[in-house]
Amino acid sequence: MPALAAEPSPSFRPPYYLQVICESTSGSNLDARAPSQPTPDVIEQLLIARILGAHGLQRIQTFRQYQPGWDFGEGQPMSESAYRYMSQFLRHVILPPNKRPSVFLGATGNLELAWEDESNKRFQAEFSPTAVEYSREDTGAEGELDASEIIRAAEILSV
Amino acid sequence: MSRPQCSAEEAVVRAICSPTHFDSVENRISPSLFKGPNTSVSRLAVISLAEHWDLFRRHLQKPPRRLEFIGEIMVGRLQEIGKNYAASRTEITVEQAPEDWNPAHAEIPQKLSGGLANEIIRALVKHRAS
Repeated sequence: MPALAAEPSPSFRPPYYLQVICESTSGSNLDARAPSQPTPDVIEQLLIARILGAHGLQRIQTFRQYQPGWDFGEGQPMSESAYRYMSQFLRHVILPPNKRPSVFLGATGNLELAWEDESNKRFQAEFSPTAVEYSREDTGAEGELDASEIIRAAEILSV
Repeated sequence: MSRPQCSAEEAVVRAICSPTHFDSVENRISPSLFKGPNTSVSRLAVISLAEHWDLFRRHLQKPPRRLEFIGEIMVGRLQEIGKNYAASRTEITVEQAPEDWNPAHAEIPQKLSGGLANEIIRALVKHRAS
């Protein structure tokens, strides 16, 4: 039986989202592989702040406070399932450099991301508790995938 | 009973409010503004643009919602964009649907894709709040 590796192999790379967080906190004592570091919720918020900016994170916190009926009696509260799928998407999508997606809340409680590439072609993804609907203008690709295929959606919308 | 349709020569407007439909820092409008189904618009043939500002401020602008723009487009232009949208050609109609608070109210009954909604947003004439 082969011995278990005590150390990560030289080819070890932390997941993309942890690389992002470590890059954003370089100079601090945060290490992607260290135990007793930020909880998953904190990691998720750091990731979102890194990609969407503090402004994007603030918008999500604002949306989270909306009460049922916020859209003239019909608005639904922000879906936490949609939030988790959006977060998962952000861990995997490759965005154009120097572009921060905007996050929006729909009346059904869905979350939506919108951004452009360097040629100003538009990209968007809308997250519901069951699916992700997406489009990218540069290739004309658009469609809807089951929420279990979030990573596939991230691949489709990566530049 | 089917509702009367607006003619291609009519202009319609849609309120664009932050934060749900507009990100003022990134200066982006949400594609959801036109995804529908049953997207609300309002007819300039019934109420002038100036009166729409008053109407929308009174009825739509409730904290934290702030009226940022009124987007204007001809019904014929909407239909042309739908027909020419290669990824999912769509016959767009605008149906008159007056309401007590807004006799100019109309609806786009179709569900539009995010990509098509983006095309419409790009074609809007955006009147900014003064």
